Amino acid sequence: MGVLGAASLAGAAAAARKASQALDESRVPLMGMAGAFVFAAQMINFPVAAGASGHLLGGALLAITLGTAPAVVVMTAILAIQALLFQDGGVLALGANVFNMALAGVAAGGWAWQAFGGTGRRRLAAFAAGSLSALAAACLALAELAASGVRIPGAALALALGIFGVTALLEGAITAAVAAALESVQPGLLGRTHGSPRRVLSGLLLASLLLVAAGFLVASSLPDGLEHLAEAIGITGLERAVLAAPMPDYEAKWLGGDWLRKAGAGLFGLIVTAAVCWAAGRWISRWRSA
Amino acid sequence: MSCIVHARGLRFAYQPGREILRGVDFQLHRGESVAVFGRNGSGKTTFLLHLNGILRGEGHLRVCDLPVEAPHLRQIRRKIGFLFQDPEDQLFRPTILEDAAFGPRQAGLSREEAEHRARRALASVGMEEDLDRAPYHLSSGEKQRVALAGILAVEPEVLILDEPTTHLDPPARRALIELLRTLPQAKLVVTHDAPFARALCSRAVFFDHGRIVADGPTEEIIRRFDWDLGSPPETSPAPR
Amino acid sequence: MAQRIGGRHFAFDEWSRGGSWLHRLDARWKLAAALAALVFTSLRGEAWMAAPAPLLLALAARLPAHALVWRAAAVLPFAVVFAWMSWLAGDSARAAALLWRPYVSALWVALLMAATPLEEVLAAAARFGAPRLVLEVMHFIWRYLGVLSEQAWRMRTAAAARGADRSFEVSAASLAVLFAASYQRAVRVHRAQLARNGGGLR
Repeated sequence: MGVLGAASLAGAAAAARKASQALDESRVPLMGMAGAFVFAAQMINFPVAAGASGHLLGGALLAITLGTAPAVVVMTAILAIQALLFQDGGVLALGANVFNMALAGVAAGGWAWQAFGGTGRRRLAAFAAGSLSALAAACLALAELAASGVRIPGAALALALGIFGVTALLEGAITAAVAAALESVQPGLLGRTHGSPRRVLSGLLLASLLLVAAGFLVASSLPDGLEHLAEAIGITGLERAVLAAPMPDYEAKWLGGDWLRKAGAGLFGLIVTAAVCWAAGRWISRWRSA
Repeated sequence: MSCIVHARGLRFAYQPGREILRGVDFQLHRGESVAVFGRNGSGKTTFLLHLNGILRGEGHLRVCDLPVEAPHLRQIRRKIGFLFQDPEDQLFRPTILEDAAFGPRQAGLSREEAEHRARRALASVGMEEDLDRAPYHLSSGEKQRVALAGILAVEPEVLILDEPTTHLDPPARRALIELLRTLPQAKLVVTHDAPFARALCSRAVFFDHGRIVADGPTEEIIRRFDWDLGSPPETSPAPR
Repeated sequence: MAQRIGGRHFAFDEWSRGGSWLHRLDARWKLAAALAALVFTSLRGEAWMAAPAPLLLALAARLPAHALVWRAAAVLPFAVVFAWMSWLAGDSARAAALLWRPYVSALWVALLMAATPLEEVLAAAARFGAPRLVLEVMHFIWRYLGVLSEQAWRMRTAAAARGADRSFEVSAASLAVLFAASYQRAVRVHRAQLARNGGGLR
């Protein structure tokens, strides 16, 4: 929490400085209204299947309409308000949430829009922005969970990633649809895109971030992967600071006998899988209707 | 100097080729109340936004004997009290008292002096209780009165009101008329509400396609442009 | 929060304008104390013993402690899941920590927000060096949250009244209209601020 919090604060501060230069005097009303919009937008349902509906998360749309730096600031402000006044997400998780959603999520969306929006396929670019933004935030969150010592077996992991994939597609579709509708309601509202060499660099940064996250996820699904990894990069101390409890052993200590242990481990694996699926489902629904 | 607003040949375009104001000539004198009529899109609000420098156009414009330009804007914005159409857009402080005291504070007054002025202004609009409440729970009429108090607290010389009766019910409308009648400032009122204009303003101007095409007694302008819903030129009953 | 943002979010506004000794303390002290309490809670295992402290302070400041208890519980649904997972993995110590840590921190935050107006918390944070723009945007969001939610709610009811036209495209169009309306309102608010010579945090 400490490391992520510091990184988030630094990122938010940098974005704030950049946003102050990018937008003019009216920026606070513009950004503030966009932030309030994201809250209000949670109320509009997007029907996807019989009975199921989704909602806009907003990171990518903010990046497209305001620009990446202002969008980071707005998303940070939204998460902070949620933590302070709605006790949503918890203030201890604020550092991680800002990192995942306001920094990585928005940056991913902004990068995709910058990279593809200049080409004629703006709707597709908006879709890519939305999908990448949701995917980046979700994967990072899961990776942090794994890094903090919560055990996630491989099958559950695959399922969680599948769910995240669906969420990402949904966010992409909503972002694309809203962006297209915005162009007809008020043309010129969408940000202009400009190619720049920085785009490649930030793309690489993002890619490496996601690779690290993927690495964590893979490691966590292997029986001793996480311990080895942790020792290798020396984060055991960090993990201790996060939850102040020792790293748990994989095998269920409280069961004796070899066959019982194996069965217990298998059963445990099943239960945890179910739990992770339920958790992921609640997580998604919390995002969707939070 | 009895002329508080002097505009000559005022032109403005949001984008090249889309002229909103095409040469507006207008004078407002101390203590006058003038109604501003015209169709939506004819340039009324755009013209008003020039008077406190929010929009900048071309041509001659002087307000309270100052040119509407950079070094004078702070002063001009204190002398011009602008009441926007939706009070929701204007109340941005957390409590009623703080919002009314905002103007005086910005003018450099101490907190006590600013609050004193605010209380006085609030009392003059009939808001005296629960000043530490947030403004969000108030009715439209009450919100408008708080916004008006915030403007009166800095003792402006001109009041500009943009369609002030839009969200008001009839009693609130009547109360607003009575209130405005007690205020000595010159008033410019954009309104579609002919009875309201009749009750408050002796003079009216009519905007059409970015110019003032008529300027005269209120009743005459209303009749000439058929601007009153309640009295058609030939009285005929509603169809059955 | 798909429900309407109405009276609920104003509760902190009202509570924070009380006149007790706690309310009158300088916001900087309160923010610093809350931050210290949060750091303590996240690092030390004994911090759960301090859990009654925010409630006692609330009572001393004539604040509704039971309401704070209830509000802080909003963090629980999420925490319970991971606590359960940890418990299944045999680590009951971590499971317990995954429950009480978020809850106790939420209590401290709720106490802070109930004893200090948001504006003052933000101004204090600015003095501590938090990025100003983020704080100003937060202030603005809080101010217009209710207004826009009201608008979105009305659009939702209007759409429902027009019949089962609930398609993906209609929802996207509604959002676009809401966004454009928000943008225009932002322009109007900015103009109103200019007309009164200012805006933003002190």
